[in-house]
Amino acid sequence: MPILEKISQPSMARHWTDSIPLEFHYTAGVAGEKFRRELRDNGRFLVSKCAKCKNSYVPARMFCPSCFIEMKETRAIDEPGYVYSYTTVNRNRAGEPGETVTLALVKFEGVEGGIIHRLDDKTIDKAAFGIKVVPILKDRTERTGALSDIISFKQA
Amino acid sequence: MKRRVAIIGAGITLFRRRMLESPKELSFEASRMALDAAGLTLKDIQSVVSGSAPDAFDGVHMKGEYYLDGMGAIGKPHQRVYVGGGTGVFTPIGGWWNVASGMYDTCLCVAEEKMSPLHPHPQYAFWSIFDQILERPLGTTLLWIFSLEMRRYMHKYGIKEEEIAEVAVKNKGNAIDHPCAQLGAKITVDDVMNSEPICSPVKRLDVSPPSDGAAAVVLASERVAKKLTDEPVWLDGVGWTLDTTHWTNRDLAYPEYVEKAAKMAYKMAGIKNPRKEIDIAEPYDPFDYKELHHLEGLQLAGKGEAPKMTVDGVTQRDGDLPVCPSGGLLGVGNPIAAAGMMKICELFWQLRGEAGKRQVKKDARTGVAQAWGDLMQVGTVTVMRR
Repeated sequence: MPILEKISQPSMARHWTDSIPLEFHYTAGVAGEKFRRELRDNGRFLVSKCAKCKNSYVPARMFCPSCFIEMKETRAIDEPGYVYSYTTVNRNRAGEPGETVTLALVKFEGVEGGIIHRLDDKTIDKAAFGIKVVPILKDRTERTGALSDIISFKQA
Repeated sequence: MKRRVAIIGAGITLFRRRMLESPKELSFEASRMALDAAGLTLKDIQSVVSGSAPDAFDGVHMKGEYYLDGMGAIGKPHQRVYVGGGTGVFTPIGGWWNVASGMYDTCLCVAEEKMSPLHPHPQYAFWSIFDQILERPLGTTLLWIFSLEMRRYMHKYGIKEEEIAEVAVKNKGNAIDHPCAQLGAKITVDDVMNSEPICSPVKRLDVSPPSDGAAAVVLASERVAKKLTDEPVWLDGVGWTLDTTHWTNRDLAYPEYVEKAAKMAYKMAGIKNPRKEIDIAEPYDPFDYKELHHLEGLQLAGKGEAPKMTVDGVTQRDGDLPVCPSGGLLGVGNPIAAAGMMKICELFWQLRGEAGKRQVKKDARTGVAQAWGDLMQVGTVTVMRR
């Protein structure tokens, strides 16, 4: 068929619509379950420590990715984190203008990994590399062990 | 220049309807066990091949990239292979390419599946594999085509449902001795016949369950394997083929794609008479009739003759051709990719005499494992020897 004889207007091609109806119920995993309980019950982030390489990881995880052995030692972080990087989002994932949100990757001294979350309104103007931050948490009775237990991070 | 490849360690997790472990954690547990069995650390592993069926089960797109740290694959050459239900046996085939080609001396092969996240049922992951114009509007499920296939197979060879049910009885009974099994049980043919009809002639006890789980093996080149163990199990033949997704074009009574894959693997392994030279088999058994179908495709039974072999006890653990001594998918469970790898693990343990209560009576030296999947169109086959 010569190319000029083909349908060139998308609306002329008959089409069917359908969807793939999927819903997921995820488990947090063995280490994830401990991390979530610590967040819910004590409002703190749980860290795993490798007995071999001595590296610590947040969120807590079952195994050391470098030594590939189980990590049994855990501790909760009491110290503030720091802003490792940040961004302000102006469009939502559909590409439309939406709520403006400032997000930060929060890291902790001596710990691998980090937590990504919102910065609160008062901290947005002060957002800078290295500023110390702590989580603003929902009330204990409202916490479920989800990331949404954290409302945002604020300057310490 | 092709090199000989050995399996030198195997590992497996529990198979359960829902595990707390994340896909990364399941992968880690199976990988760690396989490495420990091989006496290796992660530093000794040069490449990693993973296998997992649709991303839609775990609910993580780029699943291969997501779970790779649970397989120790960070910073290593890693490939994910994928042919639906055939993936579990295809995974060590992918590892075989790595080692036989001379690229690497060691390769960790891991298959993982976590089907429990998907609601309302893992069956929904298959919604979109059917033709979107000709089949999906009917609300198609895989059970439809399996039921059409089972009935056609019965019709063509005059097979009774009771004969097919013997497979479920055997495999669920064998699984009682598997420490990881989800559905080991002592049942009777009557139990199968009286179980709930799901999609006739397929009944509840004809079908394997959805599961979470992982399994792994360590492959090594001949040079390295001989340094590490006195009991390597050689991966001497590999074969795989795919048919078209136009499943309506196929002979539903005979899996030609399995025959082609098997013949490829047998030729590589130098096997001329499979029925005489294969001592033990782990064909894919997500349904009881599929074990029979696949035994015929694997050339271990004539067309339509596998049911009689089963009824006669030939395929029992103490029979002349033990089939699914593990308990198979019907008994151990069916975390899709991990289920195929479970069969590789089983042959590894059987051929080394390490299968414990499941050990077959005969002195098995050569085994064949096979899996099947995609839109019932793929055959993946490995021949293993001690």
